[in-house]
Amino acid sequence: MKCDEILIINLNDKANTLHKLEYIKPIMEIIQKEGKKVEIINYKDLKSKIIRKYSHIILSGTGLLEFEYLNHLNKFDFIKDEKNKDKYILGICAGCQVLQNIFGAEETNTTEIGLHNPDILLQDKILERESLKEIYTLHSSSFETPKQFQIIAKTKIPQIIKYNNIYGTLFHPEVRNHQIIKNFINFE
Amino acid sequence: MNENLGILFSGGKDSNYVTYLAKNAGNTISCLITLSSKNPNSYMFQSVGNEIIDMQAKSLGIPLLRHNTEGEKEKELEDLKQALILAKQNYNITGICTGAIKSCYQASRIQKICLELNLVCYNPIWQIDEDKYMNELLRDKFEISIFGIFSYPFEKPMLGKIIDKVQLDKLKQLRTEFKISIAGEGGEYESFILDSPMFKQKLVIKSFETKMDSENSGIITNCDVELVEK
Repeated sequence: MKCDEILIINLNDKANTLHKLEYIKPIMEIIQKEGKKVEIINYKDLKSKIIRKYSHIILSGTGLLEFEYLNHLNKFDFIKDEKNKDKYILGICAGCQVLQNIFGAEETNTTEIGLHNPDILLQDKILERESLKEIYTLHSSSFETPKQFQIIAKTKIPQIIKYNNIYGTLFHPEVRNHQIIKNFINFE
Repeated sequence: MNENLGILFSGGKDSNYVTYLAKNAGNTISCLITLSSKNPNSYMFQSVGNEIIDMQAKSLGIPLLRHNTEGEKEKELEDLKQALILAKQNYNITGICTGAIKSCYQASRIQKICLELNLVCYNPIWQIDEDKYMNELLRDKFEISIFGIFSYPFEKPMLGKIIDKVQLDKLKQLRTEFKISIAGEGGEYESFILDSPMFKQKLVIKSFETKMDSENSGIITNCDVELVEK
């Protein structure tokens, strides 16, 4: 299993290379600056033999009007699969909503766009050297927190959630909180 | 992917580069949308070079939708919204493209308006590494002229300078000494593009005047420009 290479699953439309520049490239560059490699795959192309190769997997954010991935949630069944329980998963924004969705949470439809100051409710290794002073949010929908998950930080709604090795950030850490991504990719 | 896009267009390097990226991604650029701000200190819109922006539109062969704004904080957002409504009506755009790089203030306000109008908002140079970005601009032969300077250590002789490899190295040196952004993301300078891979003709400046507010703040004005064959 590859620890020095991170898999980013792009939740945007496959043909949409402009959104790829906006939501994937910044994450990719943070990882590469940490000396690790990145493979990017569109969620529609996911196969279990690809998933098997990686220990750390990131589900990307999407454009505000992009919801097609919600019609393909079966592509993310691997996250709940017992044989993948040792993998580290980080869902960012839409990726976080995928986690909330597949673990059975209800939709709440809260829109947040812009900078926010969240409250930290729980100390966790994802927050090492990260004050979370400011976060950049960009979502027009949201979900309740599934009962298995703990809430690490919140604004009026949860912003970082965790269940075992699975993390979700409703905000975009690639904008103001690079340390979160650095912490995640170095989890052992 | 083929969408009808409008470009939020200032005439500077960022909006010209995203025009190029959007076109190369297979989209139709239906119009350039320019907010002509009367406030040179607007948080949202660049005003330098605004008087000759139609020359760029002509060279690009893309219609220019110009909309006026007083440039008053927050009120200018309503002007932007009106401009986008007009672009939707007149050019059937389904989305817009912006040159936002680091400004969450700018990006979040535009995202909110686009969501309200059901327009897709693309920010293809969002969070881009400034060194890589400036190199890409030079590699792709964007001729970047400095049209406005707004902070120390920039001084009057910088106005009108073309950012080539030598000037870029000077900017990097200033970054080491004074922690400036070489892409002007801290509001250090504003640029205006004289040539790009998309321009059918290049802009040549015959003469210009400068208007200085202080030793380290001034703009190019009364610019006499012509289009010449490349």
